[in-house]
This record gives sequence, C-alpha cells and structure tokens, in this order.
Amino acid sequence: MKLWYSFLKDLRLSFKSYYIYLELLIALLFVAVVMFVVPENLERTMTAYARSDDPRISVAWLDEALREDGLVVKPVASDDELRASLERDRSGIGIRVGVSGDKPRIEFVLQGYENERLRNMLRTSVETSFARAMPGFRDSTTVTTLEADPEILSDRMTMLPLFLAMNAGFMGLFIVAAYIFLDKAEGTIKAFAVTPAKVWHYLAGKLGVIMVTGFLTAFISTALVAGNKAHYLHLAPLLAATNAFGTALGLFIASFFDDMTSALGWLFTSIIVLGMAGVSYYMPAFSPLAIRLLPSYPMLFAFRELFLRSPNLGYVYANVGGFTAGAVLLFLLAERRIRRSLTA
Amino acid sequence: MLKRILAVTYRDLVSGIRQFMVPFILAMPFVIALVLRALVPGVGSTSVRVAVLEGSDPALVAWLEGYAAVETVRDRVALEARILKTDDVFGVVETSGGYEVVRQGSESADGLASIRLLLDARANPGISAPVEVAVDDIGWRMSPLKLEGTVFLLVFCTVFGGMLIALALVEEKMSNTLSAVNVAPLSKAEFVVGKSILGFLSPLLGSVGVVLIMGFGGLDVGMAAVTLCSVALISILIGFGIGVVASEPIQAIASMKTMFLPVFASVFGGIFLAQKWQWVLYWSPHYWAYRTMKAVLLGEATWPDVLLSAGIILAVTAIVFLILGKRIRRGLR
Repeated sequence: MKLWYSFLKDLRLSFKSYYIYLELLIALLFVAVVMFVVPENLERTMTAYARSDDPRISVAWLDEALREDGLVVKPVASDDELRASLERDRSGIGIRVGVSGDKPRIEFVLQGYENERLRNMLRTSVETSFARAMPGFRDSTTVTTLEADPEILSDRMTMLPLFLAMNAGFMGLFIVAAYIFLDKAEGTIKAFAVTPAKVWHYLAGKLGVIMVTGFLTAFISTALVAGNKAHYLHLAPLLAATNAFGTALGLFIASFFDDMTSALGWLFTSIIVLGMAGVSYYMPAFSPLAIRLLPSYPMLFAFRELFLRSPNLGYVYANVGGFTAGAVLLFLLAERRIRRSLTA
Repeated sequence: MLKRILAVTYRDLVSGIRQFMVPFILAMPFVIALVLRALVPGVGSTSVRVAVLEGSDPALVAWLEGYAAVETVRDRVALEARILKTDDVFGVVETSGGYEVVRQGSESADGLASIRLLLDARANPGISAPVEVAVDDIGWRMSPLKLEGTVFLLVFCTVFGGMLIALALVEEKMSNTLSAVNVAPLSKAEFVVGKSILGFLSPLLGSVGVVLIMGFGGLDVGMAAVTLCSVALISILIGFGIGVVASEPIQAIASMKTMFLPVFASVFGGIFLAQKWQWVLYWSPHYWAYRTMKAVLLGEATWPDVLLSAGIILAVTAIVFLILGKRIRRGLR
C-alpha cells in the first residue's frame, strides 16, 4: 500500500511538471524523423568510375555485369578524371580495363584505407567468377541454410530497437538520478527515515514513474513506426525489464554522489559506453567481446527480435530474466547505500 | 567589467573542479577520442567472419585467414549455435566433394557469394582465370569511421557547454542564488557572459584534444575555430534557455535530450542521407557545422564556405535568441 501511494504521488507530480510531456515530444520527433526523413531502405548503390586503357575494349559491358551487385557504372575519360571522381566520392570505386600481354586486365582502384583481406577477397572472387566459365571448373560448395525463411528488417524498422533500448531502456538512468538529488536537496529522502514507509518504497515509486513514461514513449513510437508488425504482448515484459535495469543502474550510480553535477560525468560515461553497442548492431561483422559484454548489446537484439514475423522468444525472455535479475541486484545495492547515507 | 565577469567564471570553475564536473567535461572528449581511435582499426579490418571446426586442415584455416576473420569451434553443434548468434558469421566445413557453407539465412548475399567464390578458387587450383585482376588505390588512408567519428565528436562536444550552463543555472535557481544577481554589483549581461565562458571554453579545449588524438593535427586552426565557436554559441544559448525555463534538474535533463535529437539527426543525416535529400537538414546549425568541419578536417574547406556556414549558424542563433531572449531575461529576474 505504501509503495502504491508513493508511486501514485510521484506519478501525479511528474504529470504536473513538463518532463513527461517532453519525453512524449521526443518520441514524436523521433517518429517524425524516421517516417518522413529516413527512407524505408537506405540506398546501397555504389558508383564505379570506369575507364578503358585500350580503345578496343569498351566499359559499356561493365554496367550490365555489375548492376546486380548494386554498382552503377559511370565512364570516365582519363586517369586524372578517375582519381578526381574518387576524391569527390569517397564511397565509390574505380575500374580500369585494358590488356596485359594476351589477357584482358581488370584493375580495381580503391581509396586506400581498405585492408589486405578485403583486397584479397576482391581479387580472388573476381578471378574466380571469370574462371567459372573455363572448361573443367568444378563448383565445389554446397550451402546449408539453418533458417528456412529469414526475415530482414527494413532500415527504417532497424532504427526502432536502437530508440527503444537507448531511450526507453536507459531513459531512467539520468532521470532517476535527477529525482534522487532533487529530493535530497529538498530533504524529502531524509523525511522517509521518520515515516512508516521504507526507503525502498520511495525508490520503487520513482522506478514506477519512469517505467510508465518509458512505456508511453515506447508504445507510441512503436505503434506509429511499426504498426501491427510488432509483438506488443512480448514487448511489454522486455520494456519493463530493460527500463527497470536502466533505472536501477542510474540509482546505483547516483548512490555514490551527493549532487547531480558530481554524478553527471559518470552517468554520461555510462550512456556513451552503453551506446557503443550500436556500432555492432549496425555492423554485425564487428562484434568484439568487449561490446558483446555490454548489457545494451543483447538488449538491442532482443528488441529487434520483436519486429520479426517469428521472433526467438527464448532469446527475448532470457533477456527479460537477465535484466530483471540485474535490476533487482542493482536496486538492492542502491537502496542499501542510500539508506545507509541517511543514517550516516 | 572584465574583473566581474571573470569572478563569475572563476566561481563556476572552482565549484566545477570540486564537483569533478569541469575535469570530466575536459577529459571526456579525450577519453572518447582514445576509444574511437582504438575502435577504428578493428572496424576497418572487418570484412567477413568465418567459423571452422576444430581439426580442420591447418592449410585451409591459414588460407582463409588471408581473406576473413576465422574462429574455431568445437563441433557441428557449436558451429550452428555460433552461426545462429546475432552477428554475421559463415561456417565452412570440409566435405568429401569440397566444402559446405553453413549460414543462418539473414546474412548479406554478397558475403555468401564471396565465400563461395573463395572456396571454389581453392578447390580448382589448376584452373586460372582468363582475366588478370589487380587492385590499386589512390593513397587515401583515412577510414570513413575515423573521419565521421571525429566530426561527430567535435560537433557533440559543443553541446556539453550548453548542458553545463543549463545544469549550473538550475542549481543556482534551486539554491536561490540566481535572484541574488539582482542585488549584486553585477549586471545581467556580465552574469550571462561570465556563466558562458566556461561552457564555451570547455568543449573547445576538448575539441583540441580530439583533433590531436585522432591525428588531424595539420588542419586549418582558424577555420576550425570559427566553425566550432559559432556552433558553441548556439549550444550555449539553448543551455541558457533551458537553464532559466527549467525549474528543476529533471526538466533540464529532459529538455537537454531534445537538444540531442537535432544534433544526432543532423550528423547521421549528413552521413547517411543521399545528396538529393540533404536539403531537409538545412535548418540545423549542427548540420552546417558537421559539413564544414568535415571539409576542414579533409583540408578541402575554403574561407567563403566556412564564413557562409558560420553566417548560417549565427543567423539561426539570432532567431533562437529572438525567440528565447525575452524568456531568458525574465528568468534571470
């Protein structure tokens, strides 16, 4: 009952300030950017600037050969023009065709930062694609696909898990710290020492308010961006667990400091470190252990699952369990520290 | 006048050092730059990832390492579990007829095609291509992540100044020292300038560290300074606006989050949006800062470009000041 009253009081107070409305505004702005600025799928075409060293060889055939690979071929007249095009368009590549002895020659001109593996891959795969036409060439590979009907999310939908994890999941990190320091400054927390309510009632009430805000922003943004493509029933427990974890982490960090300004640095650092999981989220081939150990890494992929037709619910609920356990642990540690600071 | 302004700044500096805030604001850009610098080579070396079984032919593994990042797993079950994880990994298993490529199904088609071609090349050593293939480059060694990451960090650093000011003002309001300005031998303008100096200088100093750590030491300092100063101004103005409007830290933090959205949208929009769509970002001073700083880092910026960007940023700043100026003056009373 005390917990419920504490929660209701904090909820009423939060609706009187403009904090919740600002969070809703941010969610709506995010939706506006995603729906009206970000295309459904980002353009993945690359331009290949092509020239021929030999007048007998044209570059026209390259266009048809490379179009399937997402390359748009633009002929250039000279090496200088090729170089200038690549300097202007850092995401493009150059192709020179000519003759070397009695063989045709294709030379790829890259920017220069590409590593040796990528260059080797390019050279060998192009050579082999031509070698396939030679007599006696044997196709030596079979492909086994573990998932029969894999679904790939559009680039627009792929942004949603990032917003849910960083905003709804870690929203509480800063806000709960601000609540605690505000109440510390006003003496509200100390007053709990002489009331029948326990400190954990007070902290859990804050957690509840932030969870309500997290739910509102998450469900509004998800409904507007994903529509009926999201699994809302499973989204709720995942949101609750991740939001609780983020808020409890904020509580734990705040328990070490006396005011917001002192804690701000550590809170910011936490957000930035957790945000690094976004690099691996967008570049799955780059997933070092240090990033995979961050709690935000599984969080992102758990949210992502809930936008697939057939989500891996085992993975989702493993994350729900893990983040709930983490939230409980951090909450208990924070509560102990804050309670001791009141009696110190 | 200068003495009074510096007195306000000195007080904020001492208080900030005591609360670790100032050292943090100064150190954080350096730390993030160091982390970014450590990450850049790792991201750059990422092409394709392959998993093979323990006991695979060492010659195959050594050969694959020339093309992809190779990891070894215990057995078939472990291989499939590894492939089903969230990152993109292809399994390569030797068979009597050649090779089996195991995939989850959601990996890029290009990655699969490349792996298959590689393995076919190894299985057909006697067949040479009827074409000579070579790879050259134009000598541009800077990875896109290093460039874009540095520019993002520089633009984001300027936001810290505004945050510092917003939080400092809210704390002063809550401790009732803000209204004391009305009875202090200090004009409101002097107070505003004094409060702004730390918020203005801290991110600029951090930017110097970022530029040096990321290895852009040869850039045009004047152009960089003009661009960063102009965008720092608007961040400070917004910080003041938030600081006087917000009555407690929670509102200040929520308001500051609204500042992050245009910054992120501007920089990531500048990076990912096609040229024909870039006009949707023209309203944002942070977009112009991103665009100009990128040109400055590349050594491609000209003074007319820099001054045009600074002019646009200052014009937006003036509009924001017109909107918020009255509110700021009322809040300081």
